[in-house]
Amino acid sequence: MTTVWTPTLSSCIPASLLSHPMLGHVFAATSFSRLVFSHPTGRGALVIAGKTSLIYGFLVVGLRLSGKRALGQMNIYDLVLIVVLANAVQNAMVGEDTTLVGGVIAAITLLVCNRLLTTVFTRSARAERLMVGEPVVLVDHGQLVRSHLRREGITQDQIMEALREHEIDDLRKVRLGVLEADGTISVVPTESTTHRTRRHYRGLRIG
Amino acid sequence: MTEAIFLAAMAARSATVAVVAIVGLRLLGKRQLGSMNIYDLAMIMALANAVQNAMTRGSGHLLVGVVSAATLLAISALVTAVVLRAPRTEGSLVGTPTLLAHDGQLVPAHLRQQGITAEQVMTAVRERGLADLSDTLTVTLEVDGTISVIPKQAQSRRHPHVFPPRLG
Repeated sequence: MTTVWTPTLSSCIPASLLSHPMLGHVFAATSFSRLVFSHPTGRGALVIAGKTSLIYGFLVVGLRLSGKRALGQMNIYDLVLIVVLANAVQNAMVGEDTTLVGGVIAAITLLVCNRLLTTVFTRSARAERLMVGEPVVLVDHGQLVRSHLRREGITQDQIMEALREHEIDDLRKVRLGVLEADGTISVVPTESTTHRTRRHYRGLRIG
Repeated sequence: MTEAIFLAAMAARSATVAVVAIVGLRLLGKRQLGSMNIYDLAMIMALANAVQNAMTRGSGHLLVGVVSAATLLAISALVTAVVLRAPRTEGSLVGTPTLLAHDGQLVPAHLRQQGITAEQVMTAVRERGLADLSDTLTVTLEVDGTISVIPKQAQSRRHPHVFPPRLG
């Protein structure tokens, strides 16, 4: 395999290129295939997988403790926090490792950890309530549930706004108003004509 | 010449990482973008950073970044072109819709397989303006990650002004 395509760099680059800013750090790699399919040692691979799963666990616990759970209620500062957080943990996951396989191992570890967490949520409604939050009834048969409004920090104006967005002008026409775990407010009208929810609280609407 | 070889190697690395990410996301069923929670978002962001060194070999050179980005864009365009020309590949590349509930009954095997919780299904039902799962005919996880809900007697109720009552 490697005999077909082995332009040994050290033999074919002029000395002036060896100090080239882009090629300067390529000395270690001697062939194209090694340049592409580089990999850490077996021990290094284990270290990357271990560090990545630790970081994932830390992110989950940290986000849970900071109380940021609802994507729909995310503002621009929360989004910046997530992006910066991801950058902050980069070196802790792969460190100085610049190999292809090292990155792939980190990626697969993250995917598997996330799938495990999702599986826990589908198996245990209790874990889901604890980590993702639970829906809260805000309006019950035309009556505001004031204690819930206070606890969730939702004002009456916000409720009325949600109703108007569902083309309802009167609280009495609402059978059920629910603050969902993702931060949106769903409205079920008294007469069961179907209305589409505007995801007005969802700052980050994907898909 | 050697610079070209180096850039080609970086393109090959970017392509490999992209293919692994696509296959990994498909295999692990994380396609419900519409019902992402904050832990999923953190995972995606961390994922992007974790593969950064693997794509560019830690090189901060402008040309390497351009080549890497161009490779990713080209792969994305390639997938779109393949799906457009060979619709049969859409099922395996993009996925197929999954039935989550039928006649008011959840399909637990499909929920588990897709990593969707019963609460997420109920949220979609309420967001459609229905109070109970028994009011639905079907609940489907679409390939774009949204959960679509078809209520019972959908047509006669949704367009009373289009269909005269005697037809309903």
